[in-house]
Amino acid sequence: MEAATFGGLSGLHWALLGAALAVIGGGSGSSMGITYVANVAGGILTDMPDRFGPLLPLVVIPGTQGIYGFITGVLVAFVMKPSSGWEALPGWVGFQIFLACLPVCFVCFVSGAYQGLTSAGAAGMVAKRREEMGRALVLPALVETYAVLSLIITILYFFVVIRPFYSTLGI
Amino acid sequence: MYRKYRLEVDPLKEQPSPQAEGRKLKKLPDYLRIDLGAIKPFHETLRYGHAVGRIRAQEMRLLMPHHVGRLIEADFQEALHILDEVEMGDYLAGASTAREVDDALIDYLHDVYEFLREALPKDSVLFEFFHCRYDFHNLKVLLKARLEGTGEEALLPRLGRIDVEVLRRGVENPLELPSPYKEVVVEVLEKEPSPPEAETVIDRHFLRYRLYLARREGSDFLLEFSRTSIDFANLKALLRARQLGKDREVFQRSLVEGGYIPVTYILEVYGDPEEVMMRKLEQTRYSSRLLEILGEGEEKPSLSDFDRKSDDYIMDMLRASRRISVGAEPVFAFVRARENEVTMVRMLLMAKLHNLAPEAIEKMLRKPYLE
Repeated sequence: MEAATFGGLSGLHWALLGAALAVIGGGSGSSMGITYVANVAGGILTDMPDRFGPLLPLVVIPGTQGIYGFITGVLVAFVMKPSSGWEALPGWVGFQIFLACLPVCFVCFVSGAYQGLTSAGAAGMVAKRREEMGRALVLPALVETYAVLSLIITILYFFVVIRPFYSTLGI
Repeated sequence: MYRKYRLEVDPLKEQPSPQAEGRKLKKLPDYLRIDLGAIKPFHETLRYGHAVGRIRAQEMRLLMPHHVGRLIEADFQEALHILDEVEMGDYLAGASTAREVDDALIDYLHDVYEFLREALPKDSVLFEFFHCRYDFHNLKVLLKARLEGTGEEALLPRLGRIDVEVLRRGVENPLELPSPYKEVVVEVLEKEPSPPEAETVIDRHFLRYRLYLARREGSDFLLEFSRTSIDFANLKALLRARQLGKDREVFQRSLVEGGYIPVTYILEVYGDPEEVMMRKLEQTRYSSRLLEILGEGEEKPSLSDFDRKSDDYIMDMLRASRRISVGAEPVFAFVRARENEVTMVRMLLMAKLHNLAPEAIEKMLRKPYLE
């Protein structure tokens, strides 16, 4: 049976669009953030190769947003798939999945890039004093909070708001 | 010699930076454009990230206040031992005469600029911003030698970007020189001014060229630095002209446009009594700091005092730029700090060679970058 479309797109199309945007947003934000901090870290390592260890967490930390986007994509593909197959997913439910993906898409894109900037500033602290690494890591970690919150909201929407419709619709 | 940046525009007028021009050319409507280059922190991090990383690694090797305190009390040999703790110690090892100290410090400064060249992005004007001072200096020495018919003293061939031979040929045939040096030589040769007036012409071109470079870079900080430098040059000219009782017209020729204090305002206060002049200058952006620099209520400052205090003002400006974590500003501040270090060490070692008392040395010193 072909499910109803919404705005001209089927449920599967909306769900795929949401998942793709979450992966694109998170991945782009992370790659930009890592580029910014790696630029500064590269400069520091040219003169201080022994700082590689303390700098690595700072370079890696903007990468988490990409992982959140990836988790969202995986959840859509495996958890949000109706037991009777994607064809049974109505357009309006697909649209809800699409909306639920947007927090991760936008927040991870912006926070990834800005976390890169914060980490780039914090890398300067590590260059000057190796023992400042702990404090230097706290500052970019604060930016991380909002990416985590966006992922929590997306997951809540999936499981608390959208998933109950599945049993009502019998899909 | 090839020069990328030609003085094709008036540096006194607001010019859009090349980045801004690039943005204008894009066809997409604003709401469809995600242009992170337009957001300054992103753009600057991409351009200056590597350079900032390299200077952060070197900042701990700058001359610290505790070094300066010990250097003031030490004798010449002890001072060299103390300087061994910082980077320039290697350059100064074995120096025993004023000439050897000068040569060592020039070598050190040369390497600082080489470091800058390696670290900076190719499209940055910062390297040119620092180097053009020596090209103008060398040109000044050559033109002065030509006008006075004397020897070419105090040339700094290692620090300029343009080969001294090219400059020497350019003094005879200005067309061989790139802008803005060509215009400088043409103006000096056309007007045939006295050597001090020729110096004024060269300094004016130098300050305006730096203003042009600052506008080209699109950095507010560089622009503020360039405009403040122009203001201090004008104020120094004001002090000197009042001390020498120069004609208003002669004084006017020594002023440079482009600073925060309009030239007309400086001309207006020129004829005023001392107190009125101070009160009027207090209304400018420098307010009470200017009175400190000009020495109100105390014995009037010598020009070298003025230089020292205006350098300290600029050093405070550079320190304020430390809150910017990535961009042209920290790189600029670091190289200025290195230059300040060289000036300070040179002054200290020369004073040691001439057996000056520590108290006298302390009065001459500039503020260090790190406190």
